[in-house]
Amino acid sequence: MENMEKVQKFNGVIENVKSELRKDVVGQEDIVENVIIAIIAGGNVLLEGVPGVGKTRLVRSLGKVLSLPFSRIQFTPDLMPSDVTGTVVMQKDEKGNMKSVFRGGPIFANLILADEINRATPKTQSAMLEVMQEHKVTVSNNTYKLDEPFFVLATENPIEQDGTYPLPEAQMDRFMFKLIMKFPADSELVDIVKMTQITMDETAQAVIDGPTILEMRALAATVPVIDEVLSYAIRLVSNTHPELEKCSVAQKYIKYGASPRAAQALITCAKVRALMHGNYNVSYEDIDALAHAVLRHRIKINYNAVNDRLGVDEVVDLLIKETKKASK
Amino acid sequence: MKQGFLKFKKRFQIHAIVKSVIFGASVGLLSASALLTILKRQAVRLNPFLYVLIGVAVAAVCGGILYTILRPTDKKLAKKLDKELQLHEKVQTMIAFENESGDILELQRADTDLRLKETPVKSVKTGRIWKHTVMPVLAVAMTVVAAIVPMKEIIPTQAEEPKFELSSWQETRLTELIAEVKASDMEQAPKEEVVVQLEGLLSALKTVDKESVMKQTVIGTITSVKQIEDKYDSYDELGATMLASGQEQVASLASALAKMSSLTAKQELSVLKESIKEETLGEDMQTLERAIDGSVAEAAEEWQSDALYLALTKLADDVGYVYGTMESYTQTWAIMKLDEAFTNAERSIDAALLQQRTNKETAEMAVDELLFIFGISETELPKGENSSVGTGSDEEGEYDPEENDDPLNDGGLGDGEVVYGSNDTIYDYETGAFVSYGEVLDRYFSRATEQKFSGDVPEELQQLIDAYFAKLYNGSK
Repeated sequence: MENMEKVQKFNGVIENVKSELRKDVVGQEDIVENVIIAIIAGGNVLLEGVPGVGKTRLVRSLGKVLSLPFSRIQFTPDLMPSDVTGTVVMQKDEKGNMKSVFRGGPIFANLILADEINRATPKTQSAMLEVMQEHKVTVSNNTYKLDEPFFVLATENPIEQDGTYPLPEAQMDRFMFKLIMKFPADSELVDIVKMTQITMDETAQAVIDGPTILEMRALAATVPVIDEVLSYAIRLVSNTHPELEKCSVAQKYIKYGASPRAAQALITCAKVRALMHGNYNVSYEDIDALAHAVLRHRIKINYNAVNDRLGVDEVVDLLIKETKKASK
Repeated sequence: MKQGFLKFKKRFQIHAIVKSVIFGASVGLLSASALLTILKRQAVRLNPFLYVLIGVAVAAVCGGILYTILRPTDKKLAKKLDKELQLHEKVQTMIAFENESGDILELQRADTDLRLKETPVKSVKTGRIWKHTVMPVLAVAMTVVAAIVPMKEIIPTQAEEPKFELSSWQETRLTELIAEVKASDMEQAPKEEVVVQLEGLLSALKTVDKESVMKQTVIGTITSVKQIEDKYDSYDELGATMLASGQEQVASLASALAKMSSLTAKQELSVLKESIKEETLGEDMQTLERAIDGSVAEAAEEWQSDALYLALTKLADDVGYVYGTMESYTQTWAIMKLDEAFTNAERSIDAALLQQRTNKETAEMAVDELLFIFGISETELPKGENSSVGTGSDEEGEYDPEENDDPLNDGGLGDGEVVYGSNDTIYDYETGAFVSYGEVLDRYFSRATEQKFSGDVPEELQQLIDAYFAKLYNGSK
């Protein structure tokens, strides 16, 4: 009974989060679900979409729902690393002596919205690397640990390429998911317009806190996954590597494949998804459902794919198909 | 726990058993029927119980193997249930982690088992039924075929007859044999006939191509040679005729003649002569004359020109003459005449017997040589034609060493003497006389060995030669 209560609480929280987010974000159910999965799994998310689809609104609304300290960093080309991490300043103490004091940057929060992250310089982007992966900041040889749970939800605009700095592969690999927010459907747009006529502010309320997220994370981690499904996830990731010559799709369409973090992300997030859907085990369906979000920013398609008018998602579809065929 | 799973497992186990039994029984029946059909066509009969045994054994093995393949392991069944019932790896997870503990694991097991309990067992397919009818149908069909197919009848096939071709060695030896016979001391008339037979055999064998025909031809020649010898040798018939006549006075003489024993004949003649003398030359002479005449009377027509017959009848005439004229002469004259008559008789009978012995031995030599040249065993000869008839034979043709006191026929039986395999005399072509074969054996063996190693003798004949001399040497060589 206790176990069931835990699961019921888990699913209850999820539903509450979703329902609160629906107040501010119209449609984008898949995006919302995946963001929640990533947060519970403890990963960072990269949101891509054209301006105005609700990327920033989703993150801000999420910040309210999670009742976690929220910080928004608007990345611009002149943004310095110290603007993100913080810096050491000289300050007079009570006695009038000058002493150096560390002033933490906006990164010192639980939920970070890194808006238009691709506009920042590589130097500034790399400052995010340590933070995103290790959840700590090092300034002047001093390391400052960030509070858990810590998430970075970054956004990028695919249209404005002038003056942008594509994220390096190393940083891209630190995002658990890359989610594409599409232009809303007409009916959704109607709802958006109606809603924003009332208020532009986010109205979602806090329904979850940090400890609860950590509890949910611990519960999700206990969801079992059988060896066959685990092997399938691993095969899917290794099939993205053309140099391994295991998969014809990779050899034809992929320039370089996903890192082992992709396999970790797949399994960790699949456990959360399984529990969210009322299942107590990870299935092939969970892996397939998360494959695009996990792989699309980790693999680089080649000119053959462009020539055949295949996007990265179509290539991932082909990878899934070939991996399933080989598994039988 | 996992009762829902177990109900499916039980169903699949039963199905596996049933399929295995059907398959095993079908294969067993099929194999037994196929075996029966095959053996019927090969005209081989087996005890029906064996077919049953084979069928049961095959059924057990095949059924067992199939059950091992089909029997539902938990993992296999879990995968099938997940696929058929679209449970998204729930059952597989339940089975994989059944021995582990954990909050979510317990929930997972309970949730999965509940779903399985609520699902009817028949909702999972156990395989298409038509697949399991193929083997039984085949088995029944094969059984019908086995029952219908008749047993093959065996028609004995004649083995291909071995071929024969007169070898150069055989031709040479036969030619030499003809020359030997011609050069022998055999009487002219039988000699000519024997030579004709041998020459006829030689020319006949040149056209013979089958071994059976060859043997038939050679045996025919052997029979003819023996008949020729029989035709010209009167000792046995005259002896038998004299014995059959019942003339007791000449019975012993007749017996000696029948055995071709010159020495005994001489002894008997001497006895007769002395008995006449003891009776002071009385009517015993007349009795003797009549006895001799009477005893050979039946043979008169056939043997009227035969030397032995003439010797006997001459003796009878001479004794009769002495008896008829003895009153005109003195007793001394009568005794002298009597002695003369018996001496002449001894000489004549001895000469006649010697000639007949020579005829016989030459004929036997020819027969033995023919048997040797063509590799024919004496047992293949018609009964009564067996050539192992030594000199001094009795009426049945068997050699009786105790009856034979002819020095020429002494086979070397004595203390410290070499014992050979036979007491026969043999024609020595170098000396032209019939001698104990022990005198020529070593010489003949040496010559045969030379020929054997010269490469002129075919291998199959070498073995015959070895066996022949081994017998003569009584196994010592």
